[in-house]
Amino acid sequence: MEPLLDQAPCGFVSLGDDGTILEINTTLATQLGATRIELLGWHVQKLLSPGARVFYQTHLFPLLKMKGRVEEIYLTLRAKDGTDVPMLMHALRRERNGAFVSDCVFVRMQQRFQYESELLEARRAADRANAAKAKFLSMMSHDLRNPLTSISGNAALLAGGMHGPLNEAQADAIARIREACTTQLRMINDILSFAKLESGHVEVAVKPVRVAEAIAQTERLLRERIAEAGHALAVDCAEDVFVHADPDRFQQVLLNLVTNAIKFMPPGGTIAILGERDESNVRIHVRDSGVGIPREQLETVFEPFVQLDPERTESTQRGVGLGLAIARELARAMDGELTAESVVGQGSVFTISLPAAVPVPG
Amino acid sequence: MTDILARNNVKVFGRGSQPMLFAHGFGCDQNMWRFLTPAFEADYRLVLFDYVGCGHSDLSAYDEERYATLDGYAQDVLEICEALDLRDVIFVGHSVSSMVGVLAAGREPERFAKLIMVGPSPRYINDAEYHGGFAREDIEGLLDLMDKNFIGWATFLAPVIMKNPERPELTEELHESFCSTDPKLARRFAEATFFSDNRSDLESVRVPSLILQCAEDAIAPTEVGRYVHRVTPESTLRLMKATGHCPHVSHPEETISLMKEYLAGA
Repeated sequence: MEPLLDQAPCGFVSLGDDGTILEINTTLATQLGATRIELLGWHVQKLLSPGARVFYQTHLFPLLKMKGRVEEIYLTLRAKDGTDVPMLMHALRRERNGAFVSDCVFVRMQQRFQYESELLEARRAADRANAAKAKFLSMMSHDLRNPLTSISGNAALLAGGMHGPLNEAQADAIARIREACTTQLRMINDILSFAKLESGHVEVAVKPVRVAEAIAQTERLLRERIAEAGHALAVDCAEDVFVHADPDRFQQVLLNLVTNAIKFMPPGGTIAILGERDESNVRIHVRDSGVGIPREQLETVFEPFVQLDPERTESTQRGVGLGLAIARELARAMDGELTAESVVGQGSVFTISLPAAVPVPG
Repeated sequence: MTDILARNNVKVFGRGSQPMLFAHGFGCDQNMWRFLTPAFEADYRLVLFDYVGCGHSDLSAYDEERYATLDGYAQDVLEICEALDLRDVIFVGHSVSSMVGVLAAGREPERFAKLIMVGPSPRYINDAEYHGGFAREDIEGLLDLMDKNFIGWATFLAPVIMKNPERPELTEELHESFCSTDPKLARRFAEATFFSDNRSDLESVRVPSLILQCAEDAIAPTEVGRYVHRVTPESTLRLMKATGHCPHVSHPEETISLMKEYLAGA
């Protein structure tokens, strides 16, 4: 072997297709505690840790044979004294002297290996913690919801006079209890939805949905609140615009956006819902004429537990800051996206993009 | 029917009528069979597929519970047989797929004419008198290696891929690198494979089988091949000159010749 290659500051080995070591340099042999003469003619498997042997047979060799090269493969070689030597490998399979050989370069990566191990362990720990958190939130939400349902149900019975007539003060107190229950239930439902989304447990059943119909439904559900707040609503969407979406989830996203618009505009504002399509996508814009969102907050509003403007929201209207995070996750679960644009002082536009669907008759 | 064929990326070709169903092993996909199939195209109807979670299968069909054990993979095989209405099937399974074939043939023996097991092992981990070739920590070493090679990539690449659906080349790059579009699923396949124990399934096999055993196979040593032969009724063991664990990739001629010899003798 050429002295340059033999003493190069990286390991080098040439293998036959049957795994026999045809050439090996002194650098690699030394790193494995052996001499090159000793290792010539060995099967490469003897240089590998047991796990690496499996990896060689199931991944490395087939890839070398089929694609002719592999790059940046992490492998553990086994030194003569039984210790594992972590290596990074590049290999090229080519024809030489009438036979195929694989030329492999090995670079020892002791420090990087430790760093990567720590990084991986940190990642695993984060995944575990995240799963535990999602489970905890889900369980807690269930446990919190049950007594609340009972409080709410009994308050409704009292309010309805099922246990006798109420005087004015009692009726007022019961009304406040019911209002607080509704707020609390909404918060818990948000937490539960978000926990489910985060743990990947939300299933979406996608089918063609007429956008104008979903907008009309949103309008029906929120008409009263829009009027109460003194806002106006304008809608512009052609009847033949369809999206691939889960009807309930799509409705939920629309409701969230319009409810936010209602909440965050001073009385007398205008909400506009506009649907438009191109060849592959449909975009539904929900525009308000509110105070707007500063540019630096346009992304953070989609982060969980971020409140748009808690100062200006009535306590009964306040949530836990999950609405937009949930809406975006739902849009993404349907292969779509939810984005925001805004000009402070003029208002905001939230845009749901979803894959367009072929119009369905009826 | 269309769903199953798309789900498992099923490819059907060949000019014969008897189906020959090729099931890839852990580590890659149906591409592994490309050195063998030309030799059988003229006489058989060849069916190739990717297990859910591998190759170009539909990853959205992956069910963590179903594919936690080899039974889920056997279910893939049976569903493909049903979708194509395959009968009299010659099942060719590499490595772990040999056991998948054993499980599938155990559940619906009437569908299968023969099993050809390339490098089979019913249990990889040593157990009392049984020598599978590996200690549990060896397999954990493999999983760690996969984590470093796969998850190491996925940790940094997956978010990029997820956020760039308009750049399919990122996914393709991962696939090209490791024959796996989803590293996490590859790891689970490794767990289902290497922590399995199918020794008790062998004795109830009612379909004649050929065992192709490589020399110097670090994954399924010769004594494991002999064990499979001893326990499996109506099995034929052929010791190959081919070394390693993938004779259909490394020594296709010898593999083809032994398969043809067995099929002709039947």
